Amino acid sequence: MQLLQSFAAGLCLWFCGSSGPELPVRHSIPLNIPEPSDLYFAPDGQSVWIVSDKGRIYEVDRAGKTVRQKRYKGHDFEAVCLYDGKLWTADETYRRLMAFHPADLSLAAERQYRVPGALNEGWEALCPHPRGYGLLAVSEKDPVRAFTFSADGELEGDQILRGIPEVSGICLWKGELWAVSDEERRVYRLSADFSVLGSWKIPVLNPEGIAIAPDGSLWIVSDDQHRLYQFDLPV
Amino acid sequence: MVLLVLWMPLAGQAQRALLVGKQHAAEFNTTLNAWALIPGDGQAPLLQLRDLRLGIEGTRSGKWEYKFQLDAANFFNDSLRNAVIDAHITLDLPDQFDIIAGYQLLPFSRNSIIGFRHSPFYQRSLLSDNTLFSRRDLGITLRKQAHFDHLAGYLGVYQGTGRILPELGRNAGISVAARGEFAFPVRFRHEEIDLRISPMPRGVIGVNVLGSTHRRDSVRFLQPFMTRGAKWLAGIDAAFCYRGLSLQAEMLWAIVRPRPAQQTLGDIPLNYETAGGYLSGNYYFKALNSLLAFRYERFAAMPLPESRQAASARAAWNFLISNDLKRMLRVEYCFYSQGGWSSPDPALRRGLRAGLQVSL
Repeated sequence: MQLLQSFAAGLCLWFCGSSGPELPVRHSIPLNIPEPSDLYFAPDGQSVWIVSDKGRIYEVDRAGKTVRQKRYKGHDFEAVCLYDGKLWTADETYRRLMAFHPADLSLAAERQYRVPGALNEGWEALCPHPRGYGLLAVSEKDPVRAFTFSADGELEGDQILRGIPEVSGICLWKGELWAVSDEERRVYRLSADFSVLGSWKIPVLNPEGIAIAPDGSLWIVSDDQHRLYQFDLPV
Repeated sequence: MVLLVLWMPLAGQAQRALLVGKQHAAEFNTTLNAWALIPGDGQAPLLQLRDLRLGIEGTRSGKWEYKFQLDAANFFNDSLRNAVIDAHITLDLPDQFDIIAGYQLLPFSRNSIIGFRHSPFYQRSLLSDNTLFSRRDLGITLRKQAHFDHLAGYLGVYQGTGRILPELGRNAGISVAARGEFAFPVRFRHEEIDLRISPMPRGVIGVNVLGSTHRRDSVRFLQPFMTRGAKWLAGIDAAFCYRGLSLQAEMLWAIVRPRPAQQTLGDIPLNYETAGGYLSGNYYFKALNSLLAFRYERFAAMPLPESRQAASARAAWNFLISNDLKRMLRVEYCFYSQGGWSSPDPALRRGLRAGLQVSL
């Protein structure tokens, strides 16, 4: 019955041709980085940290030029964020959170967890928790699940996110969450309690990461296109 | 099988990833693909288990990967058929190339390389269904991807364990395979369905060759036939996708030369050439979780007097239950077949099939 309802709703959507508004690209910057997965702006907005599937952390300037990089062999970094003065990454395959010192990208701490699913169904997204302390990590799909961590890295619990079929990146901006979905090619705005407040299509192939710069502009990184895209924040 | 189908959605929620120490992670996976032939036109109903795969794969330190996979359906359908379909390790040499060693897929034919769960049909094309060459063998492959994966190259040497029919036993000779791919304007994964509804046109072209000098699996056109000799195959393929539309085309040319030179066995010419290919396409209606697909293929041989050519056409509708390829319902209709498709293989018969595919 649920399948039939889903099919009927899709049929209406397809005939009406409505899949929501699409955000126009304001600017794009090529990157010399293979398989970029996520990004996070430095507090001064002058540089961006980017992580890749091959266990590399990059710092690039606003023109997309790599300023420095460091490799941690054998890791699959899918997400990055700055929290408590450290750069945190999520290693999807090995179910690990790792913290680095931003000054020299040296390892500060790491911790491994048990997360259900296949090897490529670990965490895809990571950001400071909207409650004001700790971290929030999100798994990709089947189902999309949000994991809450305490300030000292203890896994406190998880809950299923309704209304988003797949998540590839997430960030926190002014108490709200912004997520991007690779398979849906869509950006979602969520409240602090994970209710979906709106969504917009984006003309980007394989969008893997999302960040909002200190000036309030929305940035997406494309894995397949290895390129940064800038949008106006749709609020 | 019913129990398995009921179990699979539950298993999807389970802990399938296994962490062994800090640098070793593995996962268990399963795939079920089964269909029923809807009786009609004098046909008897038929239930076919296409795949029942159980596998484990893992990675250590991001440097080593391994994969072991059994297809129990092979055993159920023919007890002589090899149930092992993958048993190999991959060594990733950073910034150089990958080495794949063990029992593996040969890097030949785009359709053959793509995992079957990405196919919208119940049967691969004749070009890549083991009729014209053995898809798997024991050996070593070097793989190099470059320029953001726009370019990919494969070169492999294989020992001859691979065989087209179990009755033929082991092959005696060494095979060599090579393949090159060029994707534009971005990398093109080994997929046939545009699940991401690509916002830009994307394409890939590939060329490949496969040769052996003393194989025993050289085939009589459309009917595996043992003859020790040389076999050379060359192929080109291309794929394109844009906004949910995916198109694929592939051509192959095979030359079979028995050694010592033997022109006929009775009235069957053993010295022959085969050429042909397929055109296929599909469109993904994302809002409807539906995929419509078609395929037309045609092959001809020289100088065989009988079954000189074979052609078939089929269409399929897939319903993607989970909005991806993990759980699919499929109805497929083979509405045209000619020549060699009078094969006893039920997958090649004309008719309507309905079934499902579940992967975890």
